[in-house]
This record gives sequence, C-alpha cells and structure tokens, in this order.
Amino acid sequence: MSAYLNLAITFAVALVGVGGLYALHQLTAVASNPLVSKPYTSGWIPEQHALSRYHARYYPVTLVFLAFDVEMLFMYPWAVVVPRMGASAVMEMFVFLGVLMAGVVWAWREGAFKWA
Amino acid sequence: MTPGAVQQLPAWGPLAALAALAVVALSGAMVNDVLAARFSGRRGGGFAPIAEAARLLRQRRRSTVAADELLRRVGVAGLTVAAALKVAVLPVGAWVVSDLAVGLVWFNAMDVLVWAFVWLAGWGQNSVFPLVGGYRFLALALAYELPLMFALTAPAVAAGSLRMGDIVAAQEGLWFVVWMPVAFVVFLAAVLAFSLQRPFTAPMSADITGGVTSELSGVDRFLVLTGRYSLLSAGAGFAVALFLGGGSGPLLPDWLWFLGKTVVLLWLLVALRRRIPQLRPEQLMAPAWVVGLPVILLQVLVVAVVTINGRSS
Amino acid sequence: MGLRNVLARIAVTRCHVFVAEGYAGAGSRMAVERWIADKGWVEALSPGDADILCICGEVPDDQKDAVERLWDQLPGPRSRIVIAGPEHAGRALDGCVEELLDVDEQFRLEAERTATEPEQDDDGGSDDGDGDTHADMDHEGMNHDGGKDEGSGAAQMNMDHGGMSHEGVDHGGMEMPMPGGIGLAGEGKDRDGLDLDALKVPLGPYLPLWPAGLVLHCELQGDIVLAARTEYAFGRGEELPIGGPSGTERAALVRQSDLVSRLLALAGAAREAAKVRGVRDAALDGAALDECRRSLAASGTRLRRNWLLRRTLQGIGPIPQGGAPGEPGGTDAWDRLLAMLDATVAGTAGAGGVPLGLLPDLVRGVEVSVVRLVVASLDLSPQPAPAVDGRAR
Repeated sequence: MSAYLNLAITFAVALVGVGGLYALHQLTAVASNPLVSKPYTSGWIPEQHALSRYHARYYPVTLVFLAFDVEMLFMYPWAVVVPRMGASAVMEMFVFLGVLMAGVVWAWREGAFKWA
Repeated sequence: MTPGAVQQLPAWGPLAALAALAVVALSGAMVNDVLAARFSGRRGGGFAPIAEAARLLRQRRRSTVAADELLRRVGVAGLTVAAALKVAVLPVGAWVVSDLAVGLVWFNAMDVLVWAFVWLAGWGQNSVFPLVGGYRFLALALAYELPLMFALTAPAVAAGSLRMGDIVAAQEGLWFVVWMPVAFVVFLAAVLAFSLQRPFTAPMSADITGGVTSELSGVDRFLVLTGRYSLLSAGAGFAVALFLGGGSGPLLPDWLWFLGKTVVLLWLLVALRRRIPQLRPEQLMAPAWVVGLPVILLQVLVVAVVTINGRSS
Repeated sequence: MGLRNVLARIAVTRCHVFVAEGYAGAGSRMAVERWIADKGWVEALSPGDADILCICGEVPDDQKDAVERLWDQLPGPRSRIVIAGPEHAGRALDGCVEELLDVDEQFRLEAERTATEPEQDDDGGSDDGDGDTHADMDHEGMNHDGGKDEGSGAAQMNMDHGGMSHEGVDHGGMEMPMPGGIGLAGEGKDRDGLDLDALKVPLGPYLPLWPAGLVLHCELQGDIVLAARTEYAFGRGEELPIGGPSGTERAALVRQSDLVSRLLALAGAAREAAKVRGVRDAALDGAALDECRRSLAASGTRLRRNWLLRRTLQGIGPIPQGGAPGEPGGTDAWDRLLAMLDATVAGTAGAGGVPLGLLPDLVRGVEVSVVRLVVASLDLSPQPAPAVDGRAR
C-alpha cells in the first residue's frame, strides 16, 4: 500500500514542480498573461480552424494493434508464471501469438501498413 | 530472492528521485550541446540548456485563438510528469521510491500515457502543424509500442516477476543484455521514440515547422523540451535496470554504479541519435510490424525456453 | 530586478531567429544563417519559437501585412530587423541583441501589447455577414451538422441548432476574432471515397527551408494534400552579388549547394546538410572553386552510401519522362539530389528554375513532409524577372 502512496507523493511532487515552474515564469517573463495569436500559417490569415476531422490513414493498423494490445493483457501475467508452469505455458502462448502474427501477415498483404 | 528494494522514506524519497532525474537529464542536454558545438566548430558548448532555460523563462507564453487550453496544458505538462512517475519505480541500487509489485507494467503504462500527452498537445493548439505532428506521433507509436511491450516481457520472463527489484536481482549471474540483445536494441529504439528523439522526431520536425512545439513558447515549450530529456533519461535508467544489471559492479556502492551506467548510456544515446537521419512514420510502420515484431517474438521465445531449461536443470 | 537582467544576459547567448526571405534576399539570408551558426544561435522553425524576426531582402508592399502578422506572432521579448545586404547581417543582429537586453523596454512593450489585445481585430475591414445567430462560441471545435457547407472556400459558422449557416466572416467583440468557422465538412472525397474535412493551408512564402516567394495553397485532408495551387508572392530579383573571377560559376555553386543543404536538412540528414552548408559558406568567402567541388563530390559519395537517406528520398516526386525541355523528366527526389551535387561538381550548374506548372501534379495525394521534400528537390525559384517588374506580383 505504501508503494502506491509513494507513487501518489511522487505525482504530487511532480505537479508541484510543474506549478512552481509556471509560478516562476510569471515572475520572470516579460508579460504574465499569454499572448493570444493566430496560428502560424506562413504569414497568411488562417481561413479555417485546424480542429477538424483528421483523416488518420493508419486506422487499419489501430485495429491490428488493438488485438495485440489485448493480448498483452495475457502476456504480462504469463511472464510471471512461465518459470513455474514450464513448457506447456510457452507452447500455448506462442500458438496464440502465432495466430495473431498470421493476422498481421494477412493485414500486411492487404496493405494495411502502407500509407501508415 | 529479492534482495534490495528497500522503500524510501516518503518525505524525501520522491524529491531525491526527481532531483536525480533532473540532474541526469540536464547532463544529457549538456552533452548534446557539447557535441553540437564540436561538430560545428564552435568553442565551448554545454551551456545551451541553461541558455534555453533562461530564454524560455523570459519568453512570454502563447496561446492560439480558440485553442483547447485544458487539453493543451495537460499535454504539455504531462511529459515531465510521466517521466517523474516512471522514475518512481526505478530501483537505484538498493533504493526505490515505490516498490510496486508490477513496476514493469507501470513503466509501460506511463509511456503509453505519453501517447496521450503528445497528441493532446498537438490537438490543443488548434493549428495545422501541431495537429499534423500529434497524429504523426500516433503513427510512430503504433509502430514501436508492440515491439516495446514484448521487449519488456523478455526480462520479466527471465526473472519470473514483474517487480523491478526482482528483475535487477535476477541479473546477478549474467546481465540480460548478453542473452537478450534484440530486446535491448528494441528497447533502446523505443526509448528514443517515446522521448521524441532522432530518428523519431517526426512529430516535431522542421518540415512541419516544429510540429507539436510549433505554437508553444515560454514555460510550455520548456516543459516539453524538459520532458523529452527526462523521458530519455528515465528510459536509459530502465535500460540499465532491465538489461545492464542495475547497480551491480565491484567496489563502488550500487547506487553509484547505477547512476554511472545510466549516465553513460544516456550520453551514448545522445551521441548516437545525432548520427541517425529522421524517419517518416510511414517508413517505420511496415518494417516494425513485419520485421520487428517477429524478431522480438522470437527473442521472447528463446528467453522463455532458456528460462524453463534453466529452472528444470 | 536583478534576476531579470541576469536571465536576459544568459538568454541572448542563444537567440532564436526566424529568418524570412523577401525579395532578393538570398545573399542576406545566407549571411544571416552563417552568423547564426557561428554564434551558436538557433534558426527558429516558427515565429512562436523566435526572439528575432529577421527579414532578408526587401518586403514588397503587398507583403507588408504578412510580415506584420508574423511579427505579431512572436511572443515577447522580441526584436525585428530588415537586412538589405549580406554585409549588414552581423551588425544588425548585434543591434537586435541590444534590444533584447533592454529588459525595461521589453517589459514596457509587452505591457502595451497586452493593453491593446481585447480589441484584437487587426484584420479589420471585412464586415459581418448577415445577422449573427451563432450559438456560443465554445465549441468551434467539432460539432458539424453534416455537410451544410456552401461552396468551397467559405468559412463557416458552427451552429448548434441546424439550419442556419451563413458565409462570411465575423469580427469584433467576441473572444474569437478569427474569421469564424471551422474546417469544411464534406469538402473532399479521399481515395477511399470517404467524405472528409479538408483544411486549406497555405505553405510559404515565409516558411523556413522553403524557396523564397513560392506559395503553395494546399488543401489538406489529414496530412495528405488533396489539391494544390501555386503562385509566386514575389519574383526572384537579381542574382547573388558575387563578383570576382568565375563569378557566375561561383554563384551557381552557391545556389546549388544551398538547395542541396536545404533538401538534406528536410530529409533529416542534418550532418550532411551542415557540411554542404559549410561548403556554400566557403564558396561565398572566396575559397577555391576546386576545393568546394571536391568537398561536394565527397558529400555525394557519402550520400550514395547512405541507404536510409536513399530510402527516404527514393520514389518521391517522380516527374514523368518526356516533358518539356527544362523539366528534369524521369527523375525522383533522390536522382535530383544526386544530379544537383554532380552538377556542382562538374561545374554545369544549370541556370533557371523548373517551371512551376509541374508542382500541383507532383504533390497531389502525398503527405505534407513529402510535399516539402518534393519542393526542396526542385529548383523552383522564379526565373529572374527583369528588374522593372520583378516586384509587380
């Protein structure tokens, strides 16, 4: 429990540090309020806000990644258990990973990784 | 089975850890400047971090019209905070701030938070170039994250535990880097990637006028730049703990060894990254998934097999 | 306060300079770049990062607004200078340092700037469209009603209640002096046939590592260019004033090595870029042309061995074979890079630039970073116009 407490204290210390930097900046900067300016578009007046629906072309990769990421949920506990369980654990996990890799290879052949 | 890993006193433990992180990160930045000065033929060098800090403390902060201030601030401040939280589970010799039973997973969780922070910083600024930079970082992250996760699994399998102290202790006989070199290299590459260093500086590169840092100035920019070096230092520290035996070494106390190894590895990374050209995310994606992933999986397989045989014999 | 002065003095040892190249500014720009490198300063990538706005060359009258906008985007403490000729660079930048060191003055100027901010309406002029029935301005960000956009290029108001949309800009009195509106909805179909937002982004003319005077109006979907339109904001002006024996060859060498170093810097090969820049500076100083050519040949050999750079640049911006003469047909960026280096070595550095009409086709459907590489791999400076109407654009 005190491990988490120390983590919380570290977090608090980090936040205090960041806050302290901001406070220091208030003192030392040439003006304490931020300058509100238009976004930089090479000297032109921006015609549109940049916040928009951005086309992330790598969205197929995110799906493949999600599959593997869920698999990592198993991977971390498995890592702890392998020395105890022996070869069967290794076999099962790597069969599972093999299946996932087959999916990755298929995705690659389908061109999911191009135009990342 | 778990020597070491003594809890720090709560009062000054985190402070000491963060102070150490700051010093190490500063040393990395100074070395970078020394190398830059030497390359361009200037005398001196090494004071760039101080000059940048002074300049940025003087500089006014900036905000764009209709920017998403809250998200931007979270993104900007988050990098340093993530590095600080990483360091909290790092065992420096026999001391650790937080002896988490799942310290390795915590480390991974913190660098996944970096995804959020960089993207938030890019989104919050409401400007084209930071937005492109933020999404570029996600493209890079999708490529390196899985190899990183598997590379983290390898020492865990060998040590049979997710606790950082156990992993360090399991290297008593032989450092993991000797028989897990692939995992080591992949881990270092991932460290460069999540701390936005070359060759993974696409989110902040010149062709999008600084990308995520494009509209930042003053203390915001300072936090992002500090965050980068802090993450690099924390990553170097973890590389030492996971692969280079932690604090083991003759004669000197183990915390000194640990810090020494971390600093040396950090300086090596700083020197190495200057020589690598920058990668575009789409160049990294296919090789990382099609080549990197099978290779690291093979490494984990090898580690698992060796561990089982080691136990059974 | 003593602390502020101390910080100022430390800070000016490493200024960030935003270099904007104006008309006939090539020589000044090179001098400024050199000065910056010698003093250990940094070339800023964006005005937000800069302390000093350095305009090299002249600013044509129709560009004065653009420069003012750049100046407004510099956060304090800031200083600005116009450099007319390469010999003035050093003194001018030292003058900027003096300005930056004057802490009290900087504080006063920033306070003035802050005082005038609430009416930040500096684009004045255009009036409101029709009556405003816009909803709260809090969510400009995202809420689109599907596709209620009028034609292209119209900035649009975000309505929470559907049905009301008007064109035009609105100003004044609101916390959002931007021409109101958000990215277009449904403006462009991408290659998969999806309806996606397209953002209009002009690239240039005041962009670091960009050909002077070139403007590329892009429509970006995500980071892919949907369509592009090119123009020149101003002409090139006279050649670099390089006199002495073999002046034209030297000028050509300087210009080509400038282009090469820019392409290398954008491709991420910073070390090589710096080396080529060193050769350029040496040539400007009057070093023997053979020396320079030898260094460039050595660079060429090194680059040919660099497989990572080759992978970065190969297949980028391929110009189909058999275009008009003067077009480097059948090449991609890697070929053009090597051709530029070889041309400097062989002394056959070509004169004018590549016709601009190629560019929109080259950049359609590619990513922003690739666009930058394509532009950098071509010599897109406008043909030297006769002095009389060089500025008429």
